[in-house]
Amino acid sequence: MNMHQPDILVGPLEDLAEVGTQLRKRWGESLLMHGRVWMLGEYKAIAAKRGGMLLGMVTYAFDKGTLLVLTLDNFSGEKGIGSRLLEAVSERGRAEGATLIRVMTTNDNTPTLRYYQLLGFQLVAFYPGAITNYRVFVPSLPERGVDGIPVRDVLELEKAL
Amino acid sequence: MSAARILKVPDKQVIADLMVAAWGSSHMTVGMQLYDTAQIEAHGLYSTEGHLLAFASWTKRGSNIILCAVHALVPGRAYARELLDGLLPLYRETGATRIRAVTTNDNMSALIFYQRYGFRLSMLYVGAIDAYRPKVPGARKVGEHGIPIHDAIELELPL
Repeated sequence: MNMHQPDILVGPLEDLAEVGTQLRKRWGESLLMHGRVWMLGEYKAIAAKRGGMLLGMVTYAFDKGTLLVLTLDNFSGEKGIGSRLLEAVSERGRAEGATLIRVMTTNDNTPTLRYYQLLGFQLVAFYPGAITNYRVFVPSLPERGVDGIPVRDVLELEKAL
Repeated sequence: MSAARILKVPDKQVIADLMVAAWGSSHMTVGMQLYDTAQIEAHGLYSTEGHLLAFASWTKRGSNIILCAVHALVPGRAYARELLDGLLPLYRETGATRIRAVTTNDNMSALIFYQRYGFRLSMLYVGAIDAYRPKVPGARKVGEHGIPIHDAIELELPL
């Protein structure tokens, strides 16, 4: 279980300008995820904040009964932010009637791959070169990720909600 | 600098036993084919005293070297890397043009090792290990870090 620090507020972030600003730094505000392009306004965001400070953000959308997690970022580096956001978005998904949650990670990111699998997620898809292609649109995407491994591919994982 | 040598493992039963100890089975699936490691080529990295430091089991299929397992008996000393470095010329001599290595979804250390070495992910076989489990009774259900084992992941390196 996570330590729920009472000073952290997790809730919907409805200010599209702020969502766009946060995403632009990393992915660009049009997201190429789960096999299609998601324009700002087509997905929603939940943020974790302390005071006015943004600690992390998750963006999501629905594909029929599947909750698609588009991005999950912990800007603060503080432990437990990702889990809080994942819990919040899962709750949101269940409330909207979704029965599955789908997340993604990149080929270099073994800590995240391990984390999701320990939460009960299972691999469902591999998109070779997805990040290499993404980089054509967002050249600032880092070439190398965790352990200095070149970032190229996307792995998708799924779990029942 | 190491004075270690790379040699063919004379007794493949040794490799089979080591594989069973590490993974619960000496069978490996590569490209949806089932191999018994004890039946294929095995090379070891040996210390000057003759101790086995790391081993690799492999076979050649067409222009591919199928790398079933690379396993260091002493972790953290880069023995697996040293062994693979030493095997590359041998693999090139066979006329092969790439190495295909296989691992499982739980095996973060293999994903890190192969990718840091220069391999890239080439294929995910969802549920492949689950599918083979009836034929490979000893195969572990839970792997590294307590992650359930379901899938095979392939990585490639051009030679």
